[in-house]
Amino acid sequence: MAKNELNTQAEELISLQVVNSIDYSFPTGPIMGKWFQGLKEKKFYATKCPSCGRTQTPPRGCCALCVVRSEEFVEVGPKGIVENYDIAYYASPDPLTGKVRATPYAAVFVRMDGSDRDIFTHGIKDEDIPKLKRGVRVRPVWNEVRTGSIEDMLYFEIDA
Amino acid sequence: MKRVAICAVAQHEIKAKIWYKRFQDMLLDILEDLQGETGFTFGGENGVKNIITCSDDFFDARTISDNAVNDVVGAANYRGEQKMAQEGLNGIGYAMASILSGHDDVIYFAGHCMESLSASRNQIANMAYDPFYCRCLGLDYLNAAGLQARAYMEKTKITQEQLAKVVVRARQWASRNKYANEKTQLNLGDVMYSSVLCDPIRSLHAYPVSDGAVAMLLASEERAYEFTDNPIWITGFGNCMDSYFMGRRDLASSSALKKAAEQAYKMAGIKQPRKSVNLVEAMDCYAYQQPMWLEGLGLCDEGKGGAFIDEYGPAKYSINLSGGMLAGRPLMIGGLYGVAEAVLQLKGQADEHQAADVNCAVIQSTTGGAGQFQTVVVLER
Amino acid sequence: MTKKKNRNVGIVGIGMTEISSHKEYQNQPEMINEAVRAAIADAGINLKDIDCVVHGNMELFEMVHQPDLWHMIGTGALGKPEYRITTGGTTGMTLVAASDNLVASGMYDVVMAIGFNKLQEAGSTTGGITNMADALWYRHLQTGALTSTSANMTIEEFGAERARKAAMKHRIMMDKHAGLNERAHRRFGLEYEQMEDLMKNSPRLIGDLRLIHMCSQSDGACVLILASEEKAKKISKKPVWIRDHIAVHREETASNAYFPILSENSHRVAARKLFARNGITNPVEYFDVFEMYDPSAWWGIEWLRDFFLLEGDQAIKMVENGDWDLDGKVPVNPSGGVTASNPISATAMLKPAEVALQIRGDAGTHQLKREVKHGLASGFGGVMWTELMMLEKDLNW
Repeated sequence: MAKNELNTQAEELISLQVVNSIDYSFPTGPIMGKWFQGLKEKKFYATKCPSCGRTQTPPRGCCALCVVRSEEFVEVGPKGIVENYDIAYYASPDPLTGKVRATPYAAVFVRMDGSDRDIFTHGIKDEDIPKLKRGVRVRPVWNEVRTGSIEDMLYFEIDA
Repeated sequence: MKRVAICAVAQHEIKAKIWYKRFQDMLLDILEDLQGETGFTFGGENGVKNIITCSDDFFDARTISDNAVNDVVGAANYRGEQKMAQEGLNGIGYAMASILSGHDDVIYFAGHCMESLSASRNQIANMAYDPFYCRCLGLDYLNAAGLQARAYMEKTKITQEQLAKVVVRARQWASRNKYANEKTQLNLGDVMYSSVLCDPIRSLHAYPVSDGAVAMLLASEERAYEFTDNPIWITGFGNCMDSYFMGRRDLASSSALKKAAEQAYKMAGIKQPRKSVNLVEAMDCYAYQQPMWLEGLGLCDEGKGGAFIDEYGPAKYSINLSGGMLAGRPLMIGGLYGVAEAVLQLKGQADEHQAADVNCAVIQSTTGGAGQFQTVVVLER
Repeated sequence: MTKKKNRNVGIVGIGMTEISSHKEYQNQPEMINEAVRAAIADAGINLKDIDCVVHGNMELFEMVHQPDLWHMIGTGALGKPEYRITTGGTTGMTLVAASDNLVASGMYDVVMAIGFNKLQEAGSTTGGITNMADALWYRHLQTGALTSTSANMTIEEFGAERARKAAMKHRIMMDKHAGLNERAHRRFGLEYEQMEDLMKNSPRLIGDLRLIHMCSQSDGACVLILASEEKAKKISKKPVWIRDHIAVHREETASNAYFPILSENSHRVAARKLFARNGITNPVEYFDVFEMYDPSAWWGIEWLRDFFLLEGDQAIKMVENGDWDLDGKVPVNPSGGVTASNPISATAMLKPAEVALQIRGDAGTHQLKREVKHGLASGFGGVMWTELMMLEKDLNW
C-alpha cells in the first residue's frame, strides 16, 4: 500500500486523542515555605551559603556551588537591576492548564540588591516592555491579595 | 577484573507521606550523613566528579526530574550526572561499569521517590502501558500483579495463610528497623481477612505508599579505603527484560529473574547459591512476590514457595530483615533500599535487625508490571 | 590524573530513521525498530549478537511511563540486559557515553544504544520542556528552551548589526548543509541573499530569537552499536573509536546558568577539561569535523567560541570568513545540525552518529571532501548541561 494511502487510513484508524491528567500536590518544605511567607509580607528572602557567601533566590537548602547546607536567611531587594530579559512574542501553552498567554510578555533576570552572584527571574509589567534594557532598575509590584505563593508578586516594574 | 566497592550508605526514613520536606531536602539530609561517615568531597583532584541519580519524571511530575536535584547531589557545579530511569538497583550496574571502564573512580549515587506526590501511583503505572490497548484496558502494576498472583497461586497452591505469614513477618522485622515505614504489628487473621484490593491481592498484601531517599558512595578498589575500613564489594550484577505482553509470558515463573540471577551469580563465581548466599533483600511489592522472587533467585524450588515459607526458608536466608518492600518503600528505589540494608548487614551495622555471619548478600529488584524487568546484585565482604 | 581506559570501544553500527514531523504511520516501538534494524544491518550482525540494550528519552514528551517496557517489542531487548538512562537534552549522547562505559568495563562486549523521540505525540515540545521547571515558582515563567538572553549578550558585545548578521549567516549555512543531507527534517533552500529579509521578517519568538533561528520539533530514532576493540575489529572494517567523553552540568534554573556572573559556560569547561586530559592544545587545528548540538543559531555562534576555547571575536570572525563551512578550517554540522533536525532524545545521539559517518566516509551526499580522522560531538541539555565526545578514525592515542 502506498504511503499516502497508509497515511489516510492511519489518520482514520490509529490516531487517538487523549488528555492525560493526574493530580499532584507538592510540599514546599521549610526553606521554600519561608520564602513564600516572605512574599506574603512583601519581602524577598534568600539563603546565604556559609562557605562562599553566595545567595540564592528563591532559596534552596543547599548551595549549588559548595554543596553545603545553606539555612541562613538574608533579605534581598526588594529592588534590583535587570541583567538580561526575554520578551516573548510567541507563547507556549502552560503545561498545567494548556492556556496560552497574550503576547508580548517579558521575563526579566534581576540581580536583586544585596544578592551575591545570583539572579532572580520574574515577569515585568507589559507597559514597561518598551523601556526594557540591560542595567535598568526595577521594583516589585505586589498582589493586593497575598497567600504565600509565587502569585503574591505580580511582576516587576521599572523603578523610575 | 578489578573490584568495585560500596563504601557506605545513607538512608532517609521511609514514611507514607513526607509532607514536611521536598525531595531536595531529603537528599541533603542523606548527603550530609554520608559525607559525615566517609569524608568524601566533590570536585578538586580527589573528589567526586561524576554522580548517578535515580528518580522518575512521572512520580516527580517533572521533565528531567534529575534537574531538580543536581545541586543537592553535587552535580550543579561543573560535574557530570546521569539518571537511572529504571529502579535504582540498575544504577549499581551502571556505576560499576563506569568505574571498571576507568572513566570514574568514585561515584556518588543518590535516588529519591515520593509516591505520595501523585494522587494515585496506579494512575502513573497505567501510563506505562501502550496507549492503544493495554492502557485502555486499565492495566497498572497492581492489577498486573493481581493477574500474576492468580497464576502463581494456581501453580503453587500457596495458601492465604502462607501469604499472611510473609506479611506478618515483614512487620515484625520492620519494627526493628528505624528507617522502615509501616511498623504496625499484625496477626495472620488481620492479613487473611483484610479487604480485597485487587483479587486475589488483599489490601495488607500490598506495599504501602511510601516516600524516601537513599544514597551511597561507590569507589574503585584503589580508592575504597580512603572512605571506609570496611568496603563491601559488588561481586555480581545482572538484569534482564521479559516480554511486554503478559500473555506472552509464563506469569507464574520468572524467566527474566532467572536469567538476571544467572548473570549475577556467574559474575560472582557462585555455583551453588543455596550454599553461598546468607542474606537476601527481595523487592516484594505484593506478598506473593516474596516466594516467587526467591524461586527465581534459585533459593527455593520452583513451585514450592508455600512450603518454603512454612519451613522457615525466609529465616534461613535472612530474607528482608529490613521489613522489605512490604513494609513500605517507594517504587523507584525499592531495590536501592535493599542494597542499603545488605551493606549494613555485611558491615555488622544493622543494629536490632542484624543477622549473624553475613558475608554474601543478594539483592533483587523489579521494574514494570508483574516483574517484567528484573535486576540482581551480589554483594560480599 | 589521567585514567587509563580499561579497553577500547568502537562504533560498529549506525542506524537512523527519516526525521520528520509526520510519522503517523508508525507507533513508538515501530519507529525504534526501524532504526534498530538499520543499525544491525549496518553492522552486519544479528540481534542475538547484542549483549545489552541502552535506552533513554524524556518520558513526559510521549507520556509513557518507563517506556522501555513497552518498547522492548521494537528494541529487541527480550531476554537481554538493559539499562535506561536519561539526562534531558543530552540523553542521546549520554546513552553513547554510557554504552562506552559499559563496553569498556568488560561487562558487555556489544551494546546497542537507542535514542528516539516522537514529539508529535506530545502536542507541544515547548510545553513539555516547561514541565522541567520547578512547579512551585518557575513553571509559569519558563518558555521552554526559548530565550533571547544569548542574543542580547552577543549583540551587546559585538553590536546589533554584526551579531545579527553572524547569527543569520550561521543559520543559512546550517540550512545549506541540511540541503545536502537527505535525512534532515527541515531543508528550506535558504540563500545568503535572503539574510536581510529574514533578519527583518522572520517572526520573532523571543527578543532577537526569531522562528528561523530555532530548532525544529521532530520525530525520529537513532541507534548506535558499540563493541569492544577485539569484537569491533571483527565486526566492522571501519570501526569508529570513542576516545573520551565528559559530562558537565550547571545549575537548576536558566536564570543562574546562562549568566557569566560566576560561571564559565559549561561547554567551555567541558572542552577545557576534555582537551587538556587528551593533550589537545589547538582544537581548531586538531578537529576535522564538529557536530554541535545547537538548538538555535544564536547559541550556535556563542558556543563555537566556548567549544574551541576561543576569545573575543575570534569565533564570530570565523563565521564571517566561512571557516566553519564545509570547506573551512573546522566544518560544523555538515548534517545541518539541530536547527534542521531535532528528535530531542535522539538528537544528541545523531551528533556522534553523524561524526562516525563522516569518519567512515559513509555520509553520502553530505560527506566532507577532506579526510576526517578526528571528530568532536557535543550534546546540550537543560539547564546548561554539556556532554562532549571525541571520536577517532584510528587508535592513535
